[in-house]
Amino acid sequence: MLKLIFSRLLAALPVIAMVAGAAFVFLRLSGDPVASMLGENATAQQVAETRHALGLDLPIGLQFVSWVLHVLRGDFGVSIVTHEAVWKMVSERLGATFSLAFTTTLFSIFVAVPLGLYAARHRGSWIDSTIVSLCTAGFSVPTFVVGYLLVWLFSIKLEWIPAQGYVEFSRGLGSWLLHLIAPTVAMSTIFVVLVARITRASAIEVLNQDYVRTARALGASELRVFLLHVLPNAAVPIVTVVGVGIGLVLTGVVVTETIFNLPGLGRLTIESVLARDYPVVQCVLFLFSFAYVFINLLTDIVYSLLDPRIRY
Amino acid sequence: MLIGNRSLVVACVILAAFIVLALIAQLSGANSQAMATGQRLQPPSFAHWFGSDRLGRDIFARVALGTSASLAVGAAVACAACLIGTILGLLAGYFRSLDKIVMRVMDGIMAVPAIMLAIATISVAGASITSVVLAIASHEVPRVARLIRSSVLSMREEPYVEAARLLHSSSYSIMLGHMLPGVLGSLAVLGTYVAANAMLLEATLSFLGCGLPPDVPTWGNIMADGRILFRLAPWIVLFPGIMLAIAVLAINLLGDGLRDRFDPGNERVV
Amino acid sequence: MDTRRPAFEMAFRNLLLAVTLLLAASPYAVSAETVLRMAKTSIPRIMDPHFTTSFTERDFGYLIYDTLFAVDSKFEIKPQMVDKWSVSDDRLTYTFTLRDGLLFHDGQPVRSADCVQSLKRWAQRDGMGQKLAELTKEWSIVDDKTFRLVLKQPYEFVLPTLGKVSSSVPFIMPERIAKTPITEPIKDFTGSGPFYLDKSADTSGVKLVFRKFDKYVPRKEPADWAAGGKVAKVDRIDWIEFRDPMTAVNALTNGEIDMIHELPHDLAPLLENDPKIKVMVYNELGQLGFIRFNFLYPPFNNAEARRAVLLGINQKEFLDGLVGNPKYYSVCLSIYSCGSPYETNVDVPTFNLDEAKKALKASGYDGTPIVQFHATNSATIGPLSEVLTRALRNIGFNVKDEAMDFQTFTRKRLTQAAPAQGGWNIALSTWSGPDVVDPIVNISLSGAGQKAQWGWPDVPEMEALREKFATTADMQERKKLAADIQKLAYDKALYVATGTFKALAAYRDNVKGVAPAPALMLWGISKD
Repeated sequence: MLKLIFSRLLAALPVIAMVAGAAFVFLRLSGDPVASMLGENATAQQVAETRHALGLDLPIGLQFVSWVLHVLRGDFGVSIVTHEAVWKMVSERLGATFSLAFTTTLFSIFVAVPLGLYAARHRGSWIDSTIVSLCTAGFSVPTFVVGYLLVWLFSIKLEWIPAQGYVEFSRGLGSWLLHLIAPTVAMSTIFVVLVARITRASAIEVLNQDYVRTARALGASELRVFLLHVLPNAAVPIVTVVGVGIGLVLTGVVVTETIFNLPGLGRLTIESVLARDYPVVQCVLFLFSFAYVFINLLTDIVYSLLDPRIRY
Repeated sequence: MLIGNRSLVVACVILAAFIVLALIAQLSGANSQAMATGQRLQPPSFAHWFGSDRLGRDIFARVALGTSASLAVGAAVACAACLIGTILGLLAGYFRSLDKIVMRVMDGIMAVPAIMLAIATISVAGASITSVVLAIASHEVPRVARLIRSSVLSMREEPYVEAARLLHSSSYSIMLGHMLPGVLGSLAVLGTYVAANAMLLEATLSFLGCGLPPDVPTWGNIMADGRILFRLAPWIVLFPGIMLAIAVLAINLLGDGLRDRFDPGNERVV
Repeated sequence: MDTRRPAFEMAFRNLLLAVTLLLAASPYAVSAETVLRMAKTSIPRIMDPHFTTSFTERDFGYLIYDTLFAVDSKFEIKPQMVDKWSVSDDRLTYTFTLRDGLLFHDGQPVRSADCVQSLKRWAQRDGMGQKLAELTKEWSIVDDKTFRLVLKQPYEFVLPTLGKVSSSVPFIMPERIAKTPITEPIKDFTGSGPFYLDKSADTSGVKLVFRKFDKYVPRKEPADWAAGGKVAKVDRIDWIEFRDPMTAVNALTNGEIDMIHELPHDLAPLLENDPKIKVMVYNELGQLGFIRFNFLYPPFNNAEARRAVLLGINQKEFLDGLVGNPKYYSVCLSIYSCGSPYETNVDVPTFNLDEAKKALKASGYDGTPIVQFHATNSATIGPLSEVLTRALRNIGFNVKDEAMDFQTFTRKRLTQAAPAQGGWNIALSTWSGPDVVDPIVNISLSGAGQKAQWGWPDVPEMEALREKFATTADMQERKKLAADIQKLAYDKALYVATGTFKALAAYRDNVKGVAPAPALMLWGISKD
């Protein structure tokens, strides 16, 4: 197991480097922020002067090497637009995004897995069709529509929850949770649907297996059959999809953070990409690469725990 | 009651209806850009079946014309992503030596948020259907590859694979003949998810102003256009949204139908 | 298995109840200080009003900086930081004396050296500043409170330059900060304005916190636009970024914020019916869309082709499309802001599609598609550009609509490449009403060719007229020259305005003292 973790992390390094390098070049191909920073009356000459002052006209290779050397020292540099330390900008946004990702993942799993299993159990009946249709409906509606509807109903009309904003965990569990309810539900619609469908599909495949029939024939209760036989065997695709879903959450967070005005990483990423603020984008990419390696490693470990036949 | 057949039939009917609508819209020469700013934000009426938007354009005309673009984006992304993803997933799952490299590269691609990849691609390549499809598909490939790979990893240990290997079947014939049919069910489900997700991602890109240019209407960019007016003129978001929901439902039914067809265990009906 | 679902629902309901109780108990900081929570679509990021003409930075500047002179609602220039000023008889030497008691946020007094250095820095970027710098022989410091400007030739626009109300504004910074080269944004935000920036506040990068500067000495006169006494009546201002205007509206409705500046016009009806909320026109001069031509390449190197566009666009169409409610826009045919001193109806174009088509024909347009750069993700430029595309097609142009995001737009419009090689022929952008009130502040009227704004119009007669305007002392004479300039601008179709849309503000009824202004000015606002 340790060997697996170690070899994975080691193998991840060149990939992260490759992603960073590719992103570096790719980003610069899309232009730099200076012209829009300067405003309406900027002349080409002023733009050129400022680019030079900010070091943006050096050869790409040189800029990349310089960046790498700084990163190795833990310095992610300074934002082109705000001149603040990139790490400071990124770290102050982590709380909101992680909180949202955490609540969404938890909520989705606890809703979706039972839902999927239930649908599989009653496969072909109206219960199954209803669940599947609901899933499809929830899935085809864009997050912002769900978000606006939730706010309109629960915040404006019923006044149960705040319309927007984020309160740190340290400032009170109550506020933290209350501000996260609507964004979590909005984000979960897609995650729940995805996991529920795969759970159902996977459970159906398992239900057709002989060992399930055997277990039932031996008099095991339905609960036992599902928990001990169906779930563990159906788990592999479910776990994959949960891992993938977390990735979805981290990217889908952009729209949700915009609608609910959460000061998160998603918003920062999109604004920095649109503003061509390279140092920030690169730092965020770096973080995301690590996160993905970690999540994938975790899912692979869970696979090998669930399915002893899988060997690496 | 053969669910598989029924889903397939319903799905095909709905999708055919969409295609017919798209063809009629294109051939009738309806103008998606016909503006009448005096007629802005009209609710649905006889003059404007789906109402009008903030520039006075007829929503029905735009939605009908948007059918082709939206479906095209969904289909193109699904095909591209599934094709490439399946190849990569089969290779990674079957050949241990390739597994590490391929999956790490997939990790790398997935580490780049779809939005970032899309915007960077579009700002370099310009906003067009090709660049949008490319941008979205590249993000979906790892998803497909991972799922295929995990299925292959499980199947690799099955007795029939061992048997085939013992019989000296080539790796390719094992992959194509035994494994591929085994993953088709999951692939169909995932493919429908990819197609639908692509259409939704296109809506998000439009939401951010980086999708297809507005003179090429898609359901996504009509919804994004009407986003802030949602409480005042909900028809701008609702109608394309309903079309999107129906299209996605149809695509999912299609996936289900295909899955039921391919999965031999399904001959037994509940 | 079946018992799990009802149990689940019960648990969730209990959780919601518990949470609500926790909320009731948890502290919602009710402190003694008054806080004005204001929402805008973006917060300042560059935070250097000399470096950029961005309106967000300008509004930021008004909170923490002060200016030597300022404009009031009658468009008159009044002294702000200056106490007394005088001009020599030959009109070449201006002497300024600062008011008593002016302090920077770090407690240091404001000295002449600070003012002079700030102006020198600002003048390197700003158009009016550059013009003044060209005509300046020298700045001299008499003592800490008095300084002089010596010109090479008489120039009537010295005070309007020093009291410029909009982008970019000649804010006064400490000398040490003003020594930062203009190619770098400043990092220290010490100013001498009625509020100071609280950098230690926890903001998560989505808001800025300003606190009242107790040692600010406001003038005695009542506040009137940027002039008069700027009295800070709240202890703290939270400038919060709301990327989604719908979210801001919801927050205002719920009382989670106090004010929205620059509310999208289409959302006004949602708030107008709420008894607890007031919606007002905050800036009559508002913003205007304007169409620039690329003078370097056909067809717009030909005046007839440009006039075809001038005659073929109907401002009402653009404004109806963007704003909808006529209360919130004004069709303004004069090249100067309507309601400003130089507004005139001389030679204004009237919308006439037939004339436009004739002009197009006369220009010899051969049907080659023209490239229109279109910034799609701007809430104003996006829709306006779409209306423009259709208008151009109606006139008879073949239009290639190049969509891009705003960032790319600001960069690519500076390219002088041929349209067929990635360049452009025509593009629409927006500018602010206060910045087009006269021919000097209006940069878009420059005909200085390569030195002019993107589009690079080369009209030497225009430069001559503007020069004459700048050196004419008599107001009546100036008005006549302004009219001549307008006539020339329209004859040559330098650029085309697409109508003025007014800025709206919405605020809760316990916020008092919100007065219309040409930029965001938050002094004088109190909260019950």
